[in-house]
Amino acid sequence: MKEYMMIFLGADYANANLSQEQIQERMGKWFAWGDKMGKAGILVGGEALAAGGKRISGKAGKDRVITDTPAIESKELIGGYYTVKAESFDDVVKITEDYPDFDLGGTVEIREVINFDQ
Amino acid sequence: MIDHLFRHEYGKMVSSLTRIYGIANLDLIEDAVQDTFQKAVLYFRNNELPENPEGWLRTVAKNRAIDLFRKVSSQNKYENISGTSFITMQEVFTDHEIEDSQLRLLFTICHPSLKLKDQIIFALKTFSGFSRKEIAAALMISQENVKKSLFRARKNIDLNQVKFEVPSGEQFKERIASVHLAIYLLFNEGFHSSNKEKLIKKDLIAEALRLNGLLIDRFDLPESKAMMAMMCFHAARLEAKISDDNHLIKLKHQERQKWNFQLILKGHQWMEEAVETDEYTRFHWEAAIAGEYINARTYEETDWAKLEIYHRNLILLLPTASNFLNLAVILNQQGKTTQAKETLESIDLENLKGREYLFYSVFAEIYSTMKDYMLAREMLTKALNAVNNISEKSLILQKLQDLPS
Repeated sequence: MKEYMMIFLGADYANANLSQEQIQERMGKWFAWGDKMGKAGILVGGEALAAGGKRISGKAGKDRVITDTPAIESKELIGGYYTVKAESFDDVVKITEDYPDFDLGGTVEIREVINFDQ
Repeated sequence: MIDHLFRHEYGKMVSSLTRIYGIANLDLIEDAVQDTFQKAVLYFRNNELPENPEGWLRTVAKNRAIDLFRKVSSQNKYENISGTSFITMQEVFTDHEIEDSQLRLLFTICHPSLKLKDQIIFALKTFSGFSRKEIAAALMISQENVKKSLFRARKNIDLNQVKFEVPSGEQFKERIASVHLAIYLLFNEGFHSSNKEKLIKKDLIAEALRLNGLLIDRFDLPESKAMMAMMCFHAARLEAKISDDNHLIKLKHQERQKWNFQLILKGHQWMEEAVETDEYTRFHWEAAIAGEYINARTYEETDWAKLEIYHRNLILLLPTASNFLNLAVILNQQGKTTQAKETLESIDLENLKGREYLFYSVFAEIYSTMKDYMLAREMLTKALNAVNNISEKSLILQKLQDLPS
């Protein structure tokens, strides 16, 4: 078994004009997805990231640029991640089928976690 | 059985949901959880319990979180929600986080702006899932007073904007002290109460032990362990303390074979861990005292000299009228009549509410030893007027009759 990180980008709730019911429904889907992975014993962990942050780039000195993340296009923003155990990328792709926010323009990026111990 | 299972899960659910939606929404949360539990109790009375009740309840808790979202967010508290924030909410329902939430709730309840008694009522309601009626019965107060107390508690939490967290640093030291005190009082309400319902007593005691266990698991503090030892020693005597016709039996007259050996053993184990510190607290000395009383095979064989040392140490930390009275009893037991009398004379009776009869009884014994029977009679008469307990009353009457005229 390898470990993969599913990184969630985009999915802008704020500008989608969701009603409370719609948010509630999505919450149910996220919980169901988490439970499903938990029960299957493949869920390693996950975190959400708060909106708003800083992006720093450029060489030290004059070139150093600090950008507020709201200025960055929301599609690029990482909202959070789940780490799961799986045999292959293909398996993780199947897991992402339950990701609830594709319809809001959300994207999932899958990356293998490098583990030097194995 | 069902009710008890749910009682233990109630606080877990309330604290987890409060972690998500904030203490300001406690009323909404409690209503939702209460409703869930009432339905569950009804359902499982007629159906089989699920194989894994805790897992089942966790699913229910998550569903409640979803239900509550709309109610809570209608107050516009959740503008910044995003899909991934639900990942974090999920985490709240893992074992470790549930324990963490429970501690947050406990520390919030024990905020110093709340009166000690209010803290206990608040804890029984929110943490232990007692109904108002059950609290009223357990603490022998009116339901109306329970209601008022809960209202006061909530108002203080709001007014002081108490955060739903375990504080750190100096604040932690203060707060853990008040958490200890609240648990101690909860235990005493169970153990010393004149409530006739043995079941209620056991419930309160069990809750106190459970809460303290939670503290020990997380913080591993010697004073929590000392308090645990003390509670075990006391709880071991519960069965022997109540007669078949529901009268309180004093230590002196208890059948020692009725004491719970398992609990005594546990008490000693906790005590061994508790003394691994340089700083003994009141709970250390109180545990030592409770343990010493239990060590003796008979009341007469009690090691009074040791008890005197323990009491003197306790009084250095906690010079209460009640502790001085106990010291006087022990001094008198050892024939140190003059010291016993001086100790009694230093006590302000105002501070001995409910135990005045003991004060007069000890005085009577001292005068009896001094062969001043007139004063002894006077004291016994005062004791008789002050006593409520029937078996104590008959004992005092007996002593009155036995006095040489």
